[in-house]
Amino acid sequence: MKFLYEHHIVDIIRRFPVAGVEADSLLAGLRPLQPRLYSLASSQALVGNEAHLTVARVRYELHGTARGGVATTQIADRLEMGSTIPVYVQENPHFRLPADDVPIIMVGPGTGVAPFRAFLQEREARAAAGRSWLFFGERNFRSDFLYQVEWQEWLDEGVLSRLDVAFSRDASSKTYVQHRMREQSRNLFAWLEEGAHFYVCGDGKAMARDVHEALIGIVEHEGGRSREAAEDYIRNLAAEHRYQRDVY
Amino acid sequence: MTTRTIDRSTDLSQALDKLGPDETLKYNSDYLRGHIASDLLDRITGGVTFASNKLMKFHGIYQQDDRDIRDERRRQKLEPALTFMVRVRLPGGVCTPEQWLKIDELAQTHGGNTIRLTTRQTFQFHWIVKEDIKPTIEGLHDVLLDTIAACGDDSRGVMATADPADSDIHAEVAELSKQLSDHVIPKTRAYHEIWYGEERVATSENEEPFYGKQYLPRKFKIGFVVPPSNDIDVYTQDLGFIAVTGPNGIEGFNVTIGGGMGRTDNEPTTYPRLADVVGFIPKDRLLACADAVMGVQRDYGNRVVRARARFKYTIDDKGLDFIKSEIEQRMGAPFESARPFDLTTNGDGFGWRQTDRGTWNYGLFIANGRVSDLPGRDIMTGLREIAKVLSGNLRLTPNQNLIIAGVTPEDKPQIEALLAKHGLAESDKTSSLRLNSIACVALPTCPLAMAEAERYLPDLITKIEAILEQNGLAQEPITIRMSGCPNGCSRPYVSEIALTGRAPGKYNLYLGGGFHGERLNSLYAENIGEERILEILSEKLSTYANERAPGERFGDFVTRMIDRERAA
Ligand SMILES: Cc1cc2nc3c(=O)[nH]c(=O)nc-3n(C[C@H](O)[C@H](O)[C@H](O)COP(=O)(O)OP(=O)(O)OC[C@H]3O[C@@H](n4cnc5c(N)ncnc54)[C@H](O)[C@@H]3O)c2cc1C
Ligand code: HEM
Ligand code: SF4
Repeated sequence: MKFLYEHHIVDIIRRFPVAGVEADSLLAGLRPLQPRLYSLASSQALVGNEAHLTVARVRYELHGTARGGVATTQIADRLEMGSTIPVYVQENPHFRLPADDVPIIMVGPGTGVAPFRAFLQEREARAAAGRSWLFFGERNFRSDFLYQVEWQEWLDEGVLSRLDVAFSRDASSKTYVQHRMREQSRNLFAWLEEGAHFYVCGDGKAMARDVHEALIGIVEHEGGRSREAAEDYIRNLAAEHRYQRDVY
Repeated sequence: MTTRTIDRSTDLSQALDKLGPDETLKYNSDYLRGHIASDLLDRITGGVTFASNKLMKFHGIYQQDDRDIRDERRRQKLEPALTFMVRVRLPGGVCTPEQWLKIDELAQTHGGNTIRLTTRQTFQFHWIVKEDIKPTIEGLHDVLLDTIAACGDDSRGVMATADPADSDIHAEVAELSKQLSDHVIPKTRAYHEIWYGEERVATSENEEPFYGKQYLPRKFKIGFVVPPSNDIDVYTQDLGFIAVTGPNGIEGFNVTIGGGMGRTDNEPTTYPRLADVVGFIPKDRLLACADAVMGVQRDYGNRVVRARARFKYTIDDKGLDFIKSEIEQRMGAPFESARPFDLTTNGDGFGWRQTDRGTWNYGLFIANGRVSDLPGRDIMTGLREIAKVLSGNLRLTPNQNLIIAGVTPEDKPQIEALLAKHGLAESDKTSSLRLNSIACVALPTCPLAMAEAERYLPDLITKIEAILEQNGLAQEPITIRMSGCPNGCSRPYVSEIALTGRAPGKYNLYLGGGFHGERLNSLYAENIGEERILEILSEKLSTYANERAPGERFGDFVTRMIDRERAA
């Protein structure tokens, strides 16, 4: 697996050239590209006939050459303004806003923040009364604070009740969303006890697991429960559809 | 006899709701604390709230943003790139080598690797991000510097002539400016609590025995001048002290009141004003005099209309005679009649000069006070190396230049070698126009700038130099000053040639200020671009070269000429 992660098809062909295989026949043997999924970052209730996406351009270096993600560099670098691309909507019934008066806690570092922008747009349009709390994280405060001015406005207007941010590359000690959750553990537990729904979106490799761990720890600590009881508490949240995740 | 009734409807005697919004803000700030401490911890923004920004000015700190990238960031849904300007309090502009090295270090770690020397003889850091304000101020504290009252409605940094011929007089004036500055700054403990993390001590005392809760109506600027130099432009200060010296040093001061540069375009009730000389005081009355003058401004200054709040307007509104007698009453003594004095220039001296103590001073020209490393001119590195070995001190001049002072004859070769090594030895081998130029900071950091100043004036001067060259005027000292807006931070309105920004690439052109700051210039052309500026200057300078009286200054000549044009 690790080998395949570090070697794309072109790397393998370069490393193990097979005589007699032409570009045409190679391409014919490959599967078509899979579609890429993106969370909707907008609510039609507020933006009408538009759909906003939050796309992070994938760029990295491999074997000494610069590589780019197929879809994201297509969108960011090659498509002209005004061009069209084929899209379809894939619904996710397990990631939905609760009733208007129910408090929500949203954990969305990086592009994981996209659906929460849609949530707040929706709540703004509906003038929903429920409180809302967002945890956001990225690398640098100065350059990567996605939708900064929108959150600021929503905070001013009360559409967003609280915002805690963690920028991992700014301080000497790396800070992530789960650290901010722990700092606020008492409040966070109080919100859960008051019936808040808890949402996580974004990176499924490390972040979702770290946030899950932090959540168990908070329930253990603030709820005075054993580890197993805390895990039960979280399982129960999920069963009540109050703990929803969309991770990738 | 009729006693004139003095209008009290706009001053401190009125209830807060009758006064401008800044008065309520100051009054409710808990002596300049406000919510500064919690705003500093707010991670959602790189800035502070409107109210905290106002209050932080009293602590010498001013929120700005990088205007070059404002539009780009707006498109990215990011707030402006907010950073802070932090201005040091450096009475008389005198700084020890140790202090210089600390300033240099702080500029490298927090201030974008550059330092600005200002027209009020102090250091200004730009580009300081919110989290770094505290470490910067703590660093300054290590070398006994602070930023108290460097901005705000209070008495700002006190200036003093940087390089008088007599060393003892300089030492005395520098010391007096320090004493006076310590005397007139706010006394609230807010600064120590917020920036040094000191505990708040409960006290029943009035925290501001002089200022009270509303401080002054507006900024207040004080300076000392030692004739014949008028480097501090004493006529632009709210309160000026012209040293009168005798065989035993300073005897006292001629006092000037009511100078100020700021004006607003299309706002005829605002104008630059030169100070009036009101009389002489003996030296021991200095602090009492400052208290009296500032007290009058505190009590009578306009707190309804901020644009009219400077002391110069208080004097014009209430009458000079009334203000003078009110000062005398508070001072407990009348002014004596002014002693004769003679001011000849507001420029600086450059290169090596031996002092009466046998040590040497080197006047280093620094274009627009910008200390950084430029191609072939490592100003920042060079001065760091010099400060490491210097046994004297460094003095910031009111023209944004630097004097490396008190160099012993033994140390001189070493300093000379360092100047040469870093491309600083020939700093004054340029046109007199350039040596007598000042530009304010303006773009990209100043929030009020409408046009370039610091980044543009050097290029414009190069073009004017060609005109001077053609007319044989290359070595003629002429003052030129540029401000990015009409506020006039480069003291433009006393300059022989002045440009104040109106819009990108567009300036108002003023001509005819007095060479030593004794006369305001007048508006010659409005809202013009470079081509027209050069056309006008070309015409005026060539007539000057051909028709001037012997020894006549450009400012005097052009004033004569304009008067003639207008009469015709
Ligand atoms: C439900 C869901 C929601 C999503 N929502 C969003 C969203 O809102 N915003 C968003 O930006 N994305 C979102 N994604 C991810 C998105 O679908 C794409 O996977 C992503 O944009 C990359 O697409 P790409 O074509 O540019 O990259 P690809 O060409 O697919 O390249 C990505 C691949 O590059 C390889 N790779 C990456 N880094 C390295 C490295 N350092 N070394 C070696 N190989 C590497 C990996 O194999 C990786 O799988 C979501 C995914 C899911 C499943
Ligand atoms: C960079 C941000 C700055 C801002 C926003 C600013 C703001 C202002 C304003 C509003 C005025 C007009 C005051 C009035 O009319 O009452 C003014 C005047 C002035 N400022 Fe600044 N200033 C800045 C930088 C500087 C610097 C770098 C200096 C040099 C130390 C300076 C020194 C002065 C002087 C000398 C005047 C005019 C003299 C006077 O009116 O008495 N300022 N400034
Ligand atoms: S003169 Fe205007 S543009 Fe220049 S520093 Fe002062 S306020 Fe800013």
